[in-house]
Amino acid sequence: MKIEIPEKYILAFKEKYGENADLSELEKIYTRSLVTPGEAVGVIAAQSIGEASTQLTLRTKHAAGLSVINTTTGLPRLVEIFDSKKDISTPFMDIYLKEEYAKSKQKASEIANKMIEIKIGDITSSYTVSLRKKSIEFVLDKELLKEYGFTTKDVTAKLSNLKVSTALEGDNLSVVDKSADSVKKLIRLRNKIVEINLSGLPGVSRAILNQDSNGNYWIKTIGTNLSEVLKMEEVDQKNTISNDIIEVSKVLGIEAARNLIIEEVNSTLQNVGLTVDLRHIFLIADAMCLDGTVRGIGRYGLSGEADSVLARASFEVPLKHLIEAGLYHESDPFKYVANNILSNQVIPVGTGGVELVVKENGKGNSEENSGKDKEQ
Amino acid sequence: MDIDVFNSRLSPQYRIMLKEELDQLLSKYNIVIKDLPKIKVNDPAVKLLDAKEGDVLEIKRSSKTAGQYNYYRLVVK
Repeated sequence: MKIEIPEKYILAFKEKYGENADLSELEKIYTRSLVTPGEAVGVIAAQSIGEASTQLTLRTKHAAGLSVINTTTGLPRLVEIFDSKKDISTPFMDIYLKEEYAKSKQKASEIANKMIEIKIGDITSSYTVSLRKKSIEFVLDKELLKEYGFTTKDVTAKLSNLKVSTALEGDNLSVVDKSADSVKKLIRLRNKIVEINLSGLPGVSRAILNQDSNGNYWIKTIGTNLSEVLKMEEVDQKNTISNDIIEVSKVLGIEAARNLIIEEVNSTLQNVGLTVDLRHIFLIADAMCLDGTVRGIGRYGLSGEADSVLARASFEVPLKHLIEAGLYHESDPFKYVANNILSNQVIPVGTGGVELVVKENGKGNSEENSGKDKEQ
Repeated sequence: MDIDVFNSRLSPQYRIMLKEELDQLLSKYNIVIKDLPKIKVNDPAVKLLDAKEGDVLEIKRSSKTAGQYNYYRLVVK
């Protein structure tokens, strides 16, 4: 088979060894660096990452008393990424600002403060529930109200969407719900009210100002809300990211999510001093993003959705898969590795992936005959 | 303000492929259109490109190991 060498390699080769360099040497090197057809690249990728991850610490380190944000690292983070968990344990965003805001500490900290979510629960100091009056009485913290720059009217305005009547008496805010007939209902209402957003971005609980070596300020937040942050005028849309892969796939698309998976896996491994060839990570990220959504690897992801019944059954919970396959009249084409091993046949990997095409009577070209073979 | 997806550093460059280019691609790799990787029609990038179901996107990826290369995704529901 003739191998085509990409132009850029030829140019680079010539640049290094001169215009009259022997290209056959380049061809040799290039051919050797290619993956052979039929190679089981998935298994190699799994092993390459699996072996390295045995060196990872199982526990997340806790840095008590430090003001830095504690992020999940090591094996727990790796598992989180590969399972494509919806609620990751430490979501955060790195928010970069446009130049005119990034240079000034005051402006940057104003933006950071604007982002922190303040709920009604944050400005109430205590509450009492009365079933007789069908009411909940909140005691608003005057000092906090002043600090955040709210008035009591702002709070009642936020409650206008709920079907309740509100009354203000000094610092006390009483909420009356006529339809409430049990304490349970009132408590539920109370839980709903304390979660109401007064200002800031929903989901962002802390924002910390950082300065990079160029003197630019940037913000790290606990909790993510990428879609709202990217809409903010002050934010540099190019570099601002979240570490929540599912969120990124919804806001920026599947390709961005794929790049984030690679970045996150690579940095997680690199932080503990491990190097895994990037190509293995590329392969896994591509497999996870193959069908347009981010799928985890495992029972509920890639392996659980394999085409082959036997491949699924041999992975985990065989009975469930076999019974389901029986109920729905599923067929198994025996095209994959697991089912061929089960039935003691040659697996379609490496030389096993090649099939023989016989020329009929030694006549004609093989293309014509291969068509006939399929019919037979 | 809408989010400009293509502005993000995580986002590659996209382009809707022409019919001839697609035929060329399919015959080059000897595949049918549904063998291609997929992208959902409600993906933010697809929405911004205004691509329809059945279109194929050419994605210009830059990679640390392979430089620039093209990846293809079929728009599906």
